[in-house]
Amino acid sequence: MANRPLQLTLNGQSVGPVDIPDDLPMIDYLHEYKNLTGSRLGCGQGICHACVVIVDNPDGTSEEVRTCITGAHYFEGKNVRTIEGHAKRDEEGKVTELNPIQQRFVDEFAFQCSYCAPGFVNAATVLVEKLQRQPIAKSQLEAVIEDSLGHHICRCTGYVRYYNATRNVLTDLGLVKEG
Amino acid sequence: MNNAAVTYYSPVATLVELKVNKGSGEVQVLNHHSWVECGRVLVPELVKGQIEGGTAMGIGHALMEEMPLYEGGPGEGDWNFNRYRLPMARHVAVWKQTAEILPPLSLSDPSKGIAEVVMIPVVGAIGNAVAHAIGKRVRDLPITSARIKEALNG
Repeated sequence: MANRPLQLTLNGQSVGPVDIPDDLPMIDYLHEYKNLTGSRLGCGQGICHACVVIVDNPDGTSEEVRTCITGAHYFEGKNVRTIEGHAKRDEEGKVTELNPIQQRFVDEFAFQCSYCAPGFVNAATVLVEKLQRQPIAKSQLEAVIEDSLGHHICRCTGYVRYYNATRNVLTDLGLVKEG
Repeated sequence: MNNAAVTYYSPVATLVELKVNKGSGEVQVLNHHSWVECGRVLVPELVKGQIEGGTAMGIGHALMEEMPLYEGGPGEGDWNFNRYRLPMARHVAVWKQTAEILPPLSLSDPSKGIAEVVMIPVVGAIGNAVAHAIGKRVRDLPITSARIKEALNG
């Protein structure tokens, strides 16, 4: 298999160009080339969504993309965020502040084994950013969360804490209107 | 001693509300409530998390998750989420479900541990609720739509 150069922006930093195989899945690129192991390989079939990263689109929107079924070269020139990129860090790289979703998940004990957690954090982060552009009415809140997180599989939490924490953080950030 | 060879354990009881589509055999869990008595609680959030997780596992055991023995089963190593279904949030009454941690039996009651004990009664509760809904017993787990249709029409 031939190699091709890949260049992208990863957690705010320009990466590459680096020669990588044509058919390298993005999750293997993150794990093996960048030592970013927070994106989890679950099913490898695009079903469980533990492996999702966030892609920031030029129009200012953000979306989840599954890295187990997407080649690294798909991300050429794109702006990608992984779970490692959410928290604020000091000059030594030590985490000083979690993003609002991470903090709320910690506060509400949403994490258990944590295997699916990066996917849920990314999905909920994308939802926060979507509602920052377009707040929603309270009556839609639960359905919107179901739409945004509903395709993620979790074996051990029973989903309740993820969902409640997401609802609470969206409300506290002022992204939910009365009605 | 009970069948886990212990004399002091955490009892659990669960009520389930569900509906069955008698045409398609599809079951939808609408709500559930569990009571857990686990002695002295150290971290209530973790106990509640175990309750929520265990209940979801029990719902999967009752309605979805199947591992046939021998050839063609998961022992062959080629099973994945494309054919092994487990509960998603929409299957577990994620917004409505409730649970209660009952107080310790006495002030000196120790912490008893619960692991995933909560996944046990929800299975029987679902089996009974399906029987109440369709008037027939399904005696194999998981209670799939195919088995419900067989019970109704077979």
